[in-house]
Amino acid sequence: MTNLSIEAVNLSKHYGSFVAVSNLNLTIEGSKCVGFLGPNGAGKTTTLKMFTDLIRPSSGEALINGVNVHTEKKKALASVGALIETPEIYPSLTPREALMMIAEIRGVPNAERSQRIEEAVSEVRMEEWIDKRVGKFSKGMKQRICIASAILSDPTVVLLDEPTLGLDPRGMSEVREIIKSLKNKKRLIFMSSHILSEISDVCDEVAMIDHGKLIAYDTIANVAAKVTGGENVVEVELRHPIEPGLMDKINAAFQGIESAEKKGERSFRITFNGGVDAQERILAGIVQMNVGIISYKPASSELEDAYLKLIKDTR
Amino acid sequence: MGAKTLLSHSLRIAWKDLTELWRNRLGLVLLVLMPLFMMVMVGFIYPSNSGSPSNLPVALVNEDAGFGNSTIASQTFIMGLQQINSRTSMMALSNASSVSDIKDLVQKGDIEGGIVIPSNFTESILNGEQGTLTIVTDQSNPQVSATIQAVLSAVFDQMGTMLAQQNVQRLNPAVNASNSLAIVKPYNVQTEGVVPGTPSYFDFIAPGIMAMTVMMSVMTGLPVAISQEKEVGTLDGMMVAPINRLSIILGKTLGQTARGLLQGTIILVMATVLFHVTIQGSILLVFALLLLGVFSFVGLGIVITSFAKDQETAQMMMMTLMFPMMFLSGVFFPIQQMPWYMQDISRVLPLTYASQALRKVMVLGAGIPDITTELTVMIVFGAIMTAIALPVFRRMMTR
Repeated sequence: MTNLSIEAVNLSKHYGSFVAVSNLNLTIEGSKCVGFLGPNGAGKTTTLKMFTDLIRPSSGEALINGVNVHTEKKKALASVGALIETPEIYPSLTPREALMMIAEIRGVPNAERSQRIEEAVSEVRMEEWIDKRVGKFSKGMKQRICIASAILSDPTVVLLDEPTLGLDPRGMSEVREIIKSLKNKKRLIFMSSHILSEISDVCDEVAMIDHGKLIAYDTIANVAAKVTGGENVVEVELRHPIEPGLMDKINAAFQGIESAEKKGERSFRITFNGGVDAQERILAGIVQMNVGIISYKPASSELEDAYLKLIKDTR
Repeated sequence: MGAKTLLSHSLRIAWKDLTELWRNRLGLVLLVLMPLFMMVMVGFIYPSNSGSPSNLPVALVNEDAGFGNSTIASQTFIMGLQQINSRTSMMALSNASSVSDIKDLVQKGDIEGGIVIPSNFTESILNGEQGTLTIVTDQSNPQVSATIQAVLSAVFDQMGTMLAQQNVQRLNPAVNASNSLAIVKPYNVQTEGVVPGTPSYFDFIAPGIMAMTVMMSVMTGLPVAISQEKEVGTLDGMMVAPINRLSIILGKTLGQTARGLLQGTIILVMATVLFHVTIQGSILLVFALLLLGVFSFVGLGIVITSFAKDQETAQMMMMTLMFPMMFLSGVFFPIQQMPWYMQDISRVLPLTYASQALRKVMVLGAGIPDITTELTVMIVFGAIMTAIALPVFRRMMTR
């Protein structure tokens, strides 16, 4: 299989004196899900639009699978599915009709169109709505159909711009599940968001951007580790209230632990060094203590801490 | 991307637009009603038979003092006038007491004009001099005033001819009625049209309205259709696909062309069925001209699309271009009636040639060799505008 890649080479976009994206150099390769994280106005959507030739770069190149998007658009986008900004589907058409048009435009062979449409709609769990007019759909339902349109031609590269924007919690959860299922099919997914928990939940790696500049690109754990100085944090929840002295016991029992602190009656945080090996060792040790452990997971605030520090440093 | 793929994508986009139109019931009703209203309004403002007035309210003042005890000249005149009027019903004649009475009645709007027989009318006629009649007109309505003058002058001319014939026969009884007419009026003028029948104002206006409707559907419909998709967000969905932007424009144009042709056909059917417009030339040539009209205007529509950020701007730009074109292109009024500088302006407008070509084919039965100037202008204009518009559109669509 051709190596999947998304590459920005000195990519910049200016609007007069305003710099939306500044000399972005980013290379993403292989089949994975990468989050593109940044505050509002950071340049995420502008970057994604340059990768889909909706915006012309002021300088630099946007390459997909090694092909320049601006100079060889059709070849570059032939294997790309994209959901940019707040897309819409024609309200007076049914999903089947709208996707049939998109399938033709995307070059899906005639004989395969109906099957591909049904597969894409099934993947976003909208089968029972396939022949109902889109005008009757909720925002979440339309978003799912838009995702279906993005994956209709079975693209190897998927670009998603804030795919859960404007959705209610249930809608957000459903779309995240859909994106996770897309990961299973050897695709390179590049997804922008400003919701940290979403990136943590769905993505393998994260690229952070602020004021049009790339400030970090790595796995989530490594990005967090860079900020925390290599420390990791796990949150533990017990079935019963914490016994007195348990924190001291944990502090003393395991090498590499920086601190063990109570958070609540039945939960506590452990800060440690040593990466995933230490994480595994500590878990095994706590289980052996027979304290009734029911949850052991990396702290959801890891990425948040890293993000806030990195963004603060660029301001 | 091959031509076949380009066409296929374009047809798919056109199909999508027409499906959306079909499912928008209100839009569909308005699409049909608009040309219907235009035709009915214009058609019934101007009557379908050619310009003969009827029952024009006119007042008569007879100030003839007579000669001796005789007022024979004025009495003969009035009798002759009443005889002609009873045959033609051109006027609703009433009596007025004086010239100032006539002027009062005109000012009140009770009459459209008046006839004044002067006090020395019989004296002049019996002394072998010309009798002078005065026509009083309503100057606030130049068109009606001109009509009254024309009608009354024709009537008086006819009566004068009859009186002259009687004078000739009295002077020489050997001269018969036919010879006396040849003496009094040596020239007899006949008019003959290029085609049978007497085309009405509606025959004049129908081709122009058809051309204008097609122009509007492309110049209005195209920018609005694309701006709407830009605003709603569906255009970006198409643009991120590996599709030639030409397909988008071509598809939208095909969709709008179908709409324009539908409206043009409605106008054509209404013109022939309701207003008895006769199409002298080839129907196929009429539709070919409408399609050529689309080609002429599509480039202009694309340019408006490229520069309009949203639907409102697109509509304002379109109205700014369209209104002058409608009135200066000879759609409603003949260009020849305009001042020379306005005629020069009309000669650079594509709608002028579109409506002229349609008019020649529909009213005069012209064929292709008779409209080569119009065809050339429309093709050249369309080609130049399209050549300018496409790169502008491509550039504007990628910001």
